[in-house]
Amino acid sequence: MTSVTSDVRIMRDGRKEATIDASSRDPHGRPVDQQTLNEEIRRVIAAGADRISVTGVMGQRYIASACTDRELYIRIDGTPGNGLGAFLDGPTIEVFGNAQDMTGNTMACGRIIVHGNAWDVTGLAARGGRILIRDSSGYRVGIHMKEYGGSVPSIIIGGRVGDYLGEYMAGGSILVLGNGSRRSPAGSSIGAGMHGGSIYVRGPVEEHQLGIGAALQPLDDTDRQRLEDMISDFERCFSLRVTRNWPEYLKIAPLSSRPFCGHFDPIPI
Amino acid sequence: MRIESPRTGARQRNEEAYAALPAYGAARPEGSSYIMGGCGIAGVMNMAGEKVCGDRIARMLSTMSERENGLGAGYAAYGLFPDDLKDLYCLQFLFDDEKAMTVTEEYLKNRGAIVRDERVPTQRVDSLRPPRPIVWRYFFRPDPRSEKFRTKEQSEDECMVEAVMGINGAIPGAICISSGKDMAVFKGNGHSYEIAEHFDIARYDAAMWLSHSRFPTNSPGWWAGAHPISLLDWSVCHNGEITSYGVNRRFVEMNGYRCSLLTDTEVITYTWDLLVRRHGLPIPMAAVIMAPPYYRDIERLDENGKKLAYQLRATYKEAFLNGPFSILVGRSRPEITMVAMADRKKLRPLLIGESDDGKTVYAASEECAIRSVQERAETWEADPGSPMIARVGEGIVRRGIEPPFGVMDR
Repeated sequence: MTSVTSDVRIMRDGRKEATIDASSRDPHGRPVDQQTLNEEIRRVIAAGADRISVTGVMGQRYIASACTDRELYIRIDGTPGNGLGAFLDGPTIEVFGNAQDMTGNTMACGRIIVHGNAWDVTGLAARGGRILIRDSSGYRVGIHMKEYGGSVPSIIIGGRVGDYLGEYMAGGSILVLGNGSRRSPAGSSIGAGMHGGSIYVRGPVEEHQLGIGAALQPLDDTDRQRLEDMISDFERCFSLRVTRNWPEYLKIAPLSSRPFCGHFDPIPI
Repeated sequence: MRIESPRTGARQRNEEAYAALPAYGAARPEGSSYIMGGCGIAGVMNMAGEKVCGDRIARMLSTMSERENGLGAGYAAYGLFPDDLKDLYCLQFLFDDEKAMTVTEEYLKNRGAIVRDERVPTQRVDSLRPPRPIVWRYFFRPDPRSEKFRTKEQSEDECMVEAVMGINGAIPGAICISSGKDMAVFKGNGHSYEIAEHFDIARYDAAMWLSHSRFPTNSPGWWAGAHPISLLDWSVCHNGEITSYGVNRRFVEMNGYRCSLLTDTEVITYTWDLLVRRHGLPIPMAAVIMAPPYYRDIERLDENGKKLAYQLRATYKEAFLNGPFSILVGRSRPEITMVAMADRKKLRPLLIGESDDGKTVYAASEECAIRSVQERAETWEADPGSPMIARVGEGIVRRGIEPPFGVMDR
């Protein structure tokens, strides 16, 4: 049997701060069950906490998923498991460590900041909010991202990413900065099947790395404005400096709204 | 305040659901063709050749508790036997009854010498549901001149392949789960922590450990169907499914292997043995065969690489493993080696880690498996289809981010 311990304190400014210690292990050395931890997070939220610090996290999935309070801030120390902040709709999550797969799955609003790496399928199907990763991410980052009305998701990666970046993308923005990478900051099949949104990569991208329906396109003023916004946010989050030498930044955008038209069947319908 | 975990948690419900499922021992579940699954894998190697205690790998594996449902878990230990035993083949068996054991011993005695045999120590774990097969270990020296072997004058390794295939295919209630030198497999039908406790895995110290927790999705679990799936000193832990199983199975069967374990992983083990041991191909080349680059990527290789890639694809087209997978592969000869790779589309998770002192290499489905035993480590992802290769005494010889024919030793 595993347990979590928590403590809710009322701060001088009236804010309620909760700390949750998830570091206990069962007799087999297994970490706290994800459901036990998530129930405790929900309990302290229901008790009015607007600042939560979770320590000793070790692979627990779905942390803070579907939380809705825009004023809520959750700090995570350790290694959050798959699906961190899935369906997130408002709060800010800050991770000190590496995140695993599917960070911010289908998030609608809020921020996820990772001081480390976040591996495969980061920001899949995101439809709002922002994900900032200080170091690298994995495969299929931003796959199926989409935007609607004023809800425009964005993902900023400091390091490099693997293949299928922004595959089937329908909206929003992705920026890959390529810090510390001697290779191209992105893998192959970039933007395969995309029909909306923009992917920005600082560093070399060759034609063969582009997926079906995606093309390199010149930056315009709107792009530079968007980049400035994302870069300055990244700099603030991680206390890092990023050069704004615009010719280094490449934009990958859809060729049309129907990326596969004529691809599998030579006769366009 | 302190909140005790409710007994009705997800884990508890999983355990209840699992208790209601049918259980199988070393007798093959009827009506099953092969088993697909989505699972957890973890491996650790001390590259300086120092020993790693078994409780370390058990902790890594059981940290990923979402990746198993109690229908199989296993551990392969490499470099664990003393000098007087490590040059003998160590055969570990699951037996459902004494009769299967007697028949197997007779079978072995007709084909060589049992130098030593012993019960593999197990302890009672109440939560582990019966049947609990007998686990027995034989240190064996095959006699290639034995008349019982169908092929005369074959190497000792070939004798062992023939014997293992013969026993697994023909003796009811007996399954050989490992048959290599200086290695052994401990596996069964249960959760990772139950199997670790059942075999008292912490009693073993080994240079390398590979492990697997199972989440079979469309077939029952049984003791011999748990991973690692092993032949000679090869063992494979596999998360994913091989959709080209039919083609791959015919390919290995045409080359004398006999598929009897009801799992697609079995063909991966036999393919490694065929390509690397029998055909003498270097490991990175075998990886290109099993997870070949796309033709459009082959076109961008230099002339030599292009020619080689086309030849490999044409010659070994039946060894192409299609479908999502991440695998850990181990062998003990000529040196203890770990290979970790994912399919060419990276459809299953795989992370590599190296401890900050550079002594230990890890590979796992999830970062938490590595962090749970090594807080300070560098972690990275290998390219799809590109193997990470580490060897005791040599370290990480290939990180998995090199071009297909970048590092080509052995």
